[in-house]
Amino acid sequence: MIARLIRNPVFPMAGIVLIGLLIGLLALSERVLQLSERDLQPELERKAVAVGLSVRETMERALDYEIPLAELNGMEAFLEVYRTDGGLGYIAVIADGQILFSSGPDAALALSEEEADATGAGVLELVRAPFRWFTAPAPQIGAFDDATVRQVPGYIDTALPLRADMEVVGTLHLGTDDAIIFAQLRDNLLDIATILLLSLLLAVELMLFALAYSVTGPMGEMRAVMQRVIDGKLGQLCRVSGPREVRRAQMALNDVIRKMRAGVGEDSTDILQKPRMIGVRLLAFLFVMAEEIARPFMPLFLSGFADTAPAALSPELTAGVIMSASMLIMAIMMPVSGVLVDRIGPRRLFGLGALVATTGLFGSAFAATFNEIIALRCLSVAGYGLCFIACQGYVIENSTTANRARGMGLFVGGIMMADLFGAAIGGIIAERLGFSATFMVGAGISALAGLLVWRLMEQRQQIKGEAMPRFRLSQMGALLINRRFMVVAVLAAIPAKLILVGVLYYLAPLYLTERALSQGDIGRVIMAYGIIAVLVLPVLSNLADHKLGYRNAVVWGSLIAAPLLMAVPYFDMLPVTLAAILFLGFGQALITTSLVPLVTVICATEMETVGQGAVLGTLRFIERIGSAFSPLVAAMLAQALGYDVAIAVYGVTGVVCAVLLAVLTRGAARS
Amino acid sequence: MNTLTFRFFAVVLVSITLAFAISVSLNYFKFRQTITILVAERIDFMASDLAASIQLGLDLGLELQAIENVRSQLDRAGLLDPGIRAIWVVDGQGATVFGAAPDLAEPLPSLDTLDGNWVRADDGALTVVSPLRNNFGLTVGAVAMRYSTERTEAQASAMLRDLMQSALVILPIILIPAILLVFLVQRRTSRRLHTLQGRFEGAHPEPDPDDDLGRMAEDVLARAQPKGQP
Repeated sequence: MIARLIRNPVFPMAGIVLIGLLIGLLALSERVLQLSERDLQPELERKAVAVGLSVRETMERALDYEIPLAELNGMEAFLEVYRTDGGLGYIAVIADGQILFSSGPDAALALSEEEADATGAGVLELVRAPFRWFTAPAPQIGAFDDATVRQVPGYIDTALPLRADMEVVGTLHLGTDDAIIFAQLRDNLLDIATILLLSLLLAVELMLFALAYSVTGPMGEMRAVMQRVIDGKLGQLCRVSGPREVRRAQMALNDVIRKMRAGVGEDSTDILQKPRMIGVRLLAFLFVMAEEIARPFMPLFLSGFADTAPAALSPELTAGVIMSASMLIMAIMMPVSGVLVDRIGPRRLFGLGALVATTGLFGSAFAATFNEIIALRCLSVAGYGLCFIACQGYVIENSTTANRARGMGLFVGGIMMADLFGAAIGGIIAERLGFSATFMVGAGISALAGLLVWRLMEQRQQIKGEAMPRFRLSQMGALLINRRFMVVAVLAAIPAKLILVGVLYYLAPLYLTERALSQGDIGRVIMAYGIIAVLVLPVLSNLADHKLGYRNAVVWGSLIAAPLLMAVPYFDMLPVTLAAILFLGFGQALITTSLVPLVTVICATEMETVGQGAVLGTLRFIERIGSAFSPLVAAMLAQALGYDVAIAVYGVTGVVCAVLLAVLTRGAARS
Repeated sequence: MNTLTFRFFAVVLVSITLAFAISVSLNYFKFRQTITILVAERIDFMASDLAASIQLGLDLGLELQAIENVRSQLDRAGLLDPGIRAIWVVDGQGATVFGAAPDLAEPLPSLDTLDGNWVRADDGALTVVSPLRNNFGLTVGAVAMRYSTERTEAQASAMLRDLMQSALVILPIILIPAILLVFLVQRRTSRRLHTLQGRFEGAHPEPDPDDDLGRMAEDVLARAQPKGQP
């Protein structure tokens, strides 16, 4: 197994790129920190000096009236006002080595003889040291020539002399909490870590695609042709493609096959056309990322259109209405796209979808009114729906039941990577460049997907796999009267989507914005959902298949996903929200892996009568109805109860549905 | 160009360079944003502080125009930082009463709508407006300060230049060993393909027993062998 992994060039190449990037980006990050320290610390000092000059001016005016420094009245209250307004840790007035007046709990540090290390001490310093490849930049000239700056434990101490009749009578010390610098560094470090992770993911994604498309793919085709020859089938030659070395080997193999054919009197020029489905992974990655990139700020952005909304909608409801409308369009687009993919083929449908999505995303960057944004968001989501069905249709058309799961795995893999990548990178871009620029980046990615489809999806007439029956609305009736199906759909599928869209897409970004988290941090919190899902999905699918059983997996998933959401209003802490989202990701991963297999088991009769496509189509349609109404419900709850309580209400709903599901499907568990 | 070596090298080069480009640009924008916020906070404090000292006169019941020391306060504040382009005081109608208002691309906001300080960045400068209120809590004017962001822009540009130079130093250090390692991976893949090609063309290169493609090629050649031939 290991030998085979090493033999495949993708894995050693991925390892080399990963290690190279890790070392290189850490060295670059160290440089970023050096430069940030050089430029940000003096800026903080300048602010302390600005406060100090104002305090000193007032004090020196009193001293000019020959009031002795020690006898100034009301100093503590005066200093407290300036300390609070200036956002400082302490202000102290020192004369003859003693603190005369002070404000702030750590003012005694102004007397400290101890010079603390600069920021970056301790563990951080150990981490940074190996990557310090560049000489530290020269520190900037002091903020103000009258001020002296030194580092005391926990603070940057800026001292200004106090004068009376040109004589220095004391010193004014202003302590800037160096946690501010650490906070800047922490933000930078978190962003750098995110960028590092995202760069690695992107690099690996690109490399997997490039190697699979041009090296391992053509080699796989050779393997397939050789296997056919070994099985005695000489009807097809190997397609000659890829780099020169691969092409030469393929041509040599084709010569051998031609000679064998000549020996048996066969004269066919057929070429084995094995569809290259790796392109679908990259296309899925791009079109999903184009939409996901706006995920962390979408409700906040949409709530800004409340001014132009009809019927004086509140900001919460404005966002909820627009998101619900776009989700409804998504639900409608799925069956519509299913019809279109049959008529015009996946490649053209994807091109059309990318064009529509690009228009929607680009327009969203410039939308000024409620009507414009609702139309553009619906356009963008409609494009997403078209691309989604085009990719799915391409996999179905170009696969048989034997390799369809692998094809779908590539498609889903691309979507999951984009889910991870999109929210985090979107948060970082939005924080730096604003919402409009982020939409334009999304439009650029969508346009790129539209251009690449002509290269990455092959012409449909060349390849034709086994067709899968398409979903028709008329086939839903048979399923709607299946009690067990409806129990699972109403108590598991709908709540899962309701909570996913309501909490993760709507309430969490707004709740975290209310808690003053940056867009970058919000993106990272949302990314946690994707990370946990990606990490546990393979393990959980195995667990559901072999140990738990599908019904138990769905019940346990529902029970795990929701309860921690109820804790959010009681613990106003980021770790609790993060844990709730991680549990949500874990629980939903368990539901995702088991819901479809469970439905195929409980709808075994309908699977035979109306087909698998109709059964799964009905399930997806019902799920999307849940998605469509979720933002509106969340908005109404948030308006009435606040974001945190609204999240808890979703948690309660999830738990109630999970308990009912457990009770009502007890029979299924036994069977 | 269309060789295995070129494709392997291109993949490594593009992946690593792209990641570096993303990292450099995102770090640059983060730095620019952070330093702009810090400067805006300082200018905001300075404008508020100046407004607070003018407010002392208003608290005594004086008319804004009648406060004598405003002009000297503005002059003194202007000396505190060379980045300050202009400081001026406007009355409740927005007319300048002290100092000289610069030409602004967009007018100041209506003072009636101001709850607290107002900050806008445009045209290479930050403008901060801090309202002045009389004893009845009515807004009777405002202190406006315009601060040049040329220095922060220059710092951000210097940061970008430095990061690009650093990336240009780091990239070869990373790429050279990476490309050497890739060469080893590529050589093994090339050798497999050459062996396959050689076998199909009738040569007899040493087969690798662990190579499944090689084993399949042996099976294909065994089938191609006319019956009875060794």
